Amino acid sequence: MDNAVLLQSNDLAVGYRQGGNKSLVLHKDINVQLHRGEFACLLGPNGAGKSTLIKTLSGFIPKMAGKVSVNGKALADYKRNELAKVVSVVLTERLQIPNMTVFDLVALGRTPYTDFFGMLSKHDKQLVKQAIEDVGLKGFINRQLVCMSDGERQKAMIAKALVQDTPLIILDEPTAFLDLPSKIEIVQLLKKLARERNRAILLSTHDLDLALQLADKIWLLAQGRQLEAGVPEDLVLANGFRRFFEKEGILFDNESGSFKVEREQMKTIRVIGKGVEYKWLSHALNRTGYQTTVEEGNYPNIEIDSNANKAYILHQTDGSRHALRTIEDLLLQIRQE
Amino acid sequence: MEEHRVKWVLGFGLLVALLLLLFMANIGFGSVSIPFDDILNVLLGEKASRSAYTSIILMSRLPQTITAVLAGAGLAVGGLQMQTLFRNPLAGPSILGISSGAGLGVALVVLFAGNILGVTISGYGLLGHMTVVGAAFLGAFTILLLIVFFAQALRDNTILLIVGIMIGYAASAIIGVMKFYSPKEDVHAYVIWGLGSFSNVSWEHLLILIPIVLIGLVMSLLLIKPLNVLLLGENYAENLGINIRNTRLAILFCTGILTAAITAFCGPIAFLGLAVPHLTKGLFRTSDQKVLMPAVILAGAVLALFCNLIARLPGFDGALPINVVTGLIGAPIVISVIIKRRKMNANG
Repeated sequence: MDNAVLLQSNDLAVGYRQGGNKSLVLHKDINVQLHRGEFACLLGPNGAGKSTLIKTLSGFIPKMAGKVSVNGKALADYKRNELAKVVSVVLTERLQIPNMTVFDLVALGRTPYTDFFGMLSKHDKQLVKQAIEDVGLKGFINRQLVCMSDGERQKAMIAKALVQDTPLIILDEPTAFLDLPSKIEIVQLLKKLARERNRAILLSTHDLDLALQLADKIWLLAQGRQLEAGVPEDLVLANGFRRFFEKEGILFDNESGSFKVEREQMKTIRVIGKGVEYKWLSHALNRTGYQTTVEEGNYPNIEIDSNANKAYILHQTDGSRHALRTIEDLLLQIRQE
Repeated sequence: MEEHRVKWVLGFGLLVALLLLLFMANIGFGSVSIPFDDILNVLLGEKASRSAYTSIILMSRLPQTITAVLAGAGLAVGGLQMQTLFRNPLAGPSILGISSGAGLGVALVVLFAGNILGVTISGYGLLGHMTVVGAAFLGAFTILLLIVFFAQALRDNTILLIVGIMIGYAASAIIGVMKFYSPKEDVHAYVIWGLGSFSNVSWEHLLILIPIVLIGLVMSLLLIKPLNVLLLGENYAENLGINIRNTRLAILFCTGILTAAITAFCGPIAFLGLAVPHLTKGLFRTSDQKVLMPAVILAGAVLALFCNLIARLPGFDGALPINVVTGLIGAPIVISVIIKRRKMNANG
């Protein structure tokens, strides 16, 4: 049971019903699987239809065709309250609810299990406190939401999803408005929860770097293309990212796993050296429009002196030689030639 | 947690004490002051020291006081529900145009009948008053049905809110036209109705008003759980297993019948429904409807009794309409509470 397929779609089509009998299908023939304990990221450019897919999988909007099932049962066959115990969501919206504390918010995650008036049992309260600790908000239990940062608030929403006690957690761009450290924190937290709590977690995001580093599976989605899913490395090697994110002047570099801005390479420079200085010097030269090489040839040379007196020694093709202390000075010198 | 408990118990204690105190004050004070012993005797069905006291209390002050309690509690509940449903602090029970509908009903009877049929309703005493109440209730209920109809067609709450406000404007516009073509006396009668009053409600009226308000209040208590979840917005609420459509209809219906009945009997009591939830939230500092709903019922009754008492203070003698008092006394209170709360939030 533990590693069983939790979420499965067969030839699923997603889209919107428009007025009358018209409907707009954004994507069809989607075949994906998500296992318990797995952390998957749905990646794609804006307007790719990520949200529509997420909403369909969370049961907010009906599917247009095909099958989608959770735990072997079709999503549409779940009663409202049953579904609330199977799928929980965290959304992009920033909630500003005056007077609501973290405890109040997380406690609402117990709604599918509480009585008619929503009274919390001892067990419920225990779960709520535990979840608040699990997401790292231990000291915030009675803190008002309005007095918290966006990242802290999203952590509280994740705690809400945890106490909802669903095998599947779906997050629709929960990190969209967070700063980088908060993003990393949240994604790491999700990965940990997936593993330790044996939940299947699906996160839609723009953050390629984070997804590449932390996701067990990546689902790539772009307008007018078939969804592609797999482990990040396979997708890179199959040129998946390159094809999905191609845009004029932007290139996905399969080697580094990040985007490069394409420019006309103006001049070649030979760089001699190794280590971290070598890496960042090449970075700086590439960034400013030079191609770097280790081959000998009729180009300027830069030698990295990694001794006590760190220096970058520039040998121009005309034989002149400059020793420079920083990359900034070096770039200035090259440009002057 | 425990700290909150203590605060809440104190809050409820304060509200209950104020309610009892103001209830007695409303019966005791007025152009004729009645001693406390006599009030108790009359309320317990025994003889007062003067027979005039008995009739003043039973025929005038007691129904008026009960009306104030019902109206305050009902409107405050409506306000809290609208603020929660629409997640908008400016929402009140009259936001969906229901009280404008009541106004339209009254205008049709007072202005139109007077104008076209040559009947001056204001001259007809009790029968005339019942006609006005009936017209107000019909008008309010018509608008409520219209809102419910739109609520079923529209998924988006913000759009529903705008539709409600627009319906209110349309009703006011029609009233404006009728006022323009009506004789002065009728317009004056309409203006008087529009200023609101708790004193025109007799025991016969209360037989209708009490059950409706009680149904509304009980319903509001049954809606506590979905209202709490709706604080998170519709998407989260739906994901937590709430049937948004049915819940929204129930909330609209609950606020609708409360507002319709109270406005029909007391006129459009502005402000109470908007202000009381803010005062209550300031006092209890929670978003939990399990605490807020009963607290708002109590606080609504307390504030209505307080305003009614001011309106009847010796010297004013009914010269101050209830809407003038609620506005003049209530607005500064609300402003100060909100500013104070802001400061507390800012200080963490």
